[in-house]
Amino acid sequence: MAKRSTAATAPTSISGQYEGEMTAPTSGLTFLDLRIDVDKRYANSPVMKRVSGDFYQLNKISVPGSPPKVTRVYRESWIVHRPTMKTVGNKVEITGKVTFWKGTHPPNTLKITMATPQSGVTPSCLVTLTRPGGQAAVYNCTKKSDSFRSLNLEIDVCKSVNAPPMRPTWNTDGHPIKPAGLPARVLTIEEAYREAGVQVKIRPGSTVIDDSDAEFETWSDAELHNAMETYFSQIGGSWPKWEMWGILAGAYEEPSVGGIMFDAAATFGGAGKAPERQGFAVFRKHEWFDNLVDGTPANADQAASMRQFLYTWVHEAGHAFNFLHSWDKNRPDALSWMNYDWRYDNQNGANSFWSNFMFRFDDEELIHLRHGDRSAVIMGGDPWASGGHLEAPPGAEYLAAPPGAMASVEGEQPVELLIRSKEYFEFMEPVAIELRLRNLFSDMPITLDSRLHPEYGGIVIYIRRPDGRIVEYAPVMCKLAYTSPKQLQPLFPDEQPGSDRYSEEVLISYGRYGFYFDEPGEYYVRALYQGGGDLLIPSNVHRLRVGSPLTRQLDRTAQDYFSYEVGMNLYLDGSRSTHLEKGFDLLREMSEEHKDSLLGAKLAMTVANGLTQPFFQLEKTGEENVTVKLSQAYKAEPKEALKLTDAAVDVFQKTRQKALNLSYRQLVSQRVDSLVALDRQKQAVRELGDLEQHLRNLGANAPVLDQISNLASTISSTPPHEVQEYHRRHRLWDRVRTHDKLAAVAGEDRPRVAKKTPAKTSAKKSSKKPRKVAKKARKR
Amino acid sequence: MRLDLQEGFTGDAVEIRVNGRTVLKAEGVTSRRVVGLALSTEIEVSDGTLNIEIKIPTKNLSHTISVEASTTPNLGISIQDGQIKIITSERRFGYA
Repeated sequence: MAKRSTAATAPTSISGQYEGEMTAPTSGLTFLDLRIDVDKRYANSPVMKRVSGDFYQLNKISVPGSPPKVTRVYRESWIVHRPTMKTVGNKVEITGKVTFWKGTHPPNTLKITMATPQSGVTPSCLVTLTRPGGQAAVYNCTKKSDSFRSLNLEIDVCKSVNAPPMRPTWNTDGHPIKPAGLPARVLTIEEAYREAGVQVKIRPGSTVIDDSDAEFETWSDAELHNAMETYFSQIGGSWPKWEMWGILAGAYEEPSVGGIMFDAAATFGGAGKAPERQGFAVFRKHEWFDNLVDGTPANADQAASMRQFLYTWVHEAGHAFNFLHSWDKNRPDALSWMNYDWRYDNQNGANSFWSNFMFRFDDEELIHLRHGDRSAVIMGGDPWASGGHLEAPPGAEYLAAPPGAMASVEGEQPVELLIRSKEYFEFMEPVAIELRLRNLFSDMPITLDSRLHPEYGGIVIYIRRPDGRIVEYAPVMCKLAYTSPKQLQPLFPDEQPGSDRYSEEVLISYGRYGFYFDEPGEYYVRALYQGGGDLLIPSNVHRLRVGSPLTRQLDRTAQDYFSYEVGMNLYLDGSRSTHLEKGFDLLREMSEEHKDSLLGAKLAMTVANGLTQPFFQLEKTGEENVTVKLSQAYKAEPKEALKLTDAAVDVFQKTRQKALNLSYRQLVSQRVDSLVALDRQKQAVRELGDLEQHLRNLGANAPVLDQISNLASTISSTPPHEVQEYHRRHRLWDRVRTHDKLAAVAGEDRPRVAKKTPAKTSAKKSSKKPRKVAKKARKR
Repeated sequence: MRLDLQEGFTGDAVEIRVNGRTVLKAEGVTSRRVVGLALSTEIEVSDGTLNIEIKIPTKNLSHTISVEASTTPNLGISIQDGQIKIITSERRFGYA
């Protein structure tokens, strides 16, 4: 169970970070990042008597002739408070009750068994989590570090303060005011955090930021955030991650502020740009640091400055770990890096803070740092001052993300799940997003379940609302159906993008719990693809903005619009049900009133869709033993549907946004169905031609353009009654909801190798770009 | 004198008088939790004893305190547990 150590871990302590894969019931299905905190692991580091863990799903893709490609996707975290530890002979057993941070779980028990640690041997353990009834999951874990977590800190410096010391070093013996019995040692950022249980690795090198502009004096939060986005080499790629940025800057706009974790919500005084807790600043020109020296301080003033320098760096990084100030947690007397000396002194007497402070976080903070819910601790996870963690102030729980919302990939992922839409939506405009799966392998196809609507359970969508609350989108309906496997091909260098990807548009305005975008402001949308359950792929975080009502009338209409009847009409793409009549009528009225706007265009599409088909509903018959009868309540009204969407065509033609390509295609598809039904094939072909030209001007891919032109050719060359019959049974509107099916409409299976045309040259070039998200540094 | 409005302000109106003279009148005062400060300002005061009257009408709070100008160069005001709390200091308050 134990093997020879190669790492410089604490020789005989159990405590530290362990990791390993599941061995039973399914070998290699999940991965456990385990933190055992039961005995002294490091000097001056208190034991918190906790065990905690993070579960990751392992995505393993078999590759013929090569080892499988493996990526880890974070799932959820748990903690065991005050576990029981028994040592019998040379065996250690740790047991306790498992508490998951999020979601509902049956009560699990934990049992860890391991050999008593010996010097020079890396400890390993068998971890068993048992559910009621005896079902057990077993993991074989090996000690990785004597710290519980690990992160990289990148430090940049402004030219105006680019002089040593740029990072703090503090000998705890260096000032006459100190606690009795304070262990003498040299503290740095790394050492202070190592004692706290986190291995902080400072990235080598430091960018010097030129702040010498004669008109520049002080930093604002927005400027600091902008600097972080410009200079932080790790800002790209997906968040959350264990990366932090610190800047040593000149002065802050409020001169009494010596340091700030600026990456928080605007309501808390931060820059107000998610994801949060990625960076902080320390202001070298603050009077605290007037007496900093490069070397050993020669007097008490210099020593106090050096001490304050260390305090400020550790304190600000602490905020990035999601710490509030001590008094905000009802612990004003805490002797912690997160308290203010003058606040403590005000309650306890002059100099009492530094006379008693042992240069550590308090116990509750250490538990959060070492064992808190991963999304509440990791940078870019839960918003600052929120999350289901020990540091949250009362009332912050509602900001906690639901389980899965913070799923993130470690390593290279085999499939990309991309969310996109236009960035700005008018108030009340239905919000639909495109979900796109793309094979990232360069040499092998991958088969996925192509049902991307959350109704099928294979996709979960999370929405972060303007107030910071993260909610899970709940579809109105749940559908049970066979999987719809689709093979995505690898994209070879000489090929057009197309067969490597698959898209579907999903309306997420309305769901089981009402409207999701009913307030003006900024929203973030993220999705998690679970497919058949063997793969877990998180998407990008997509930002969109919902505007304010442009008129008082529109504001008043909101009262009626945000209703069940309207929501269900949007969800069902227009319904003539008598139960939803009020909503249908309102949408029709609004689509006419706002016909020159995108809001009107989209509402017109919804209403028109309801008009293009006959509607049948159940009616009471009065006959004995026959209580209801299905009868046609409304005939299809294609002429009315066309009239309603005439203006929408102009709106899409004028709005030259690539993000609206899919919506415009849907509108034309809907109109083609109506035009064919009315025997107006020529107009159908003309509108398809206009669409093709519009999309071509916006740089749409050649396969999409080919599909449209092939459809137009098919309509032109097929006898009208055959086209009518086909469209009656297979509406184009339904089929075009998924991009790739348009090819099937044209009766064509596209060949794998694209034709060489000049128009494809640029696409060919782009296909050669690396497929993973570029994480290159913006500097250096 | 340096006057700092610190914790507990949530869009409040604040009026401060020193010896009957209004030295600060502000609206929409909100504490920035990341640093524990809402507003910091320097006010002109005379020597001797200062009668400082603090009114926060939006929370229906008021408080009066007497301090010696020479020994109170810094005054911190917070709202805590529904009450106005005062901290005085010879050292300037710093925030992080």
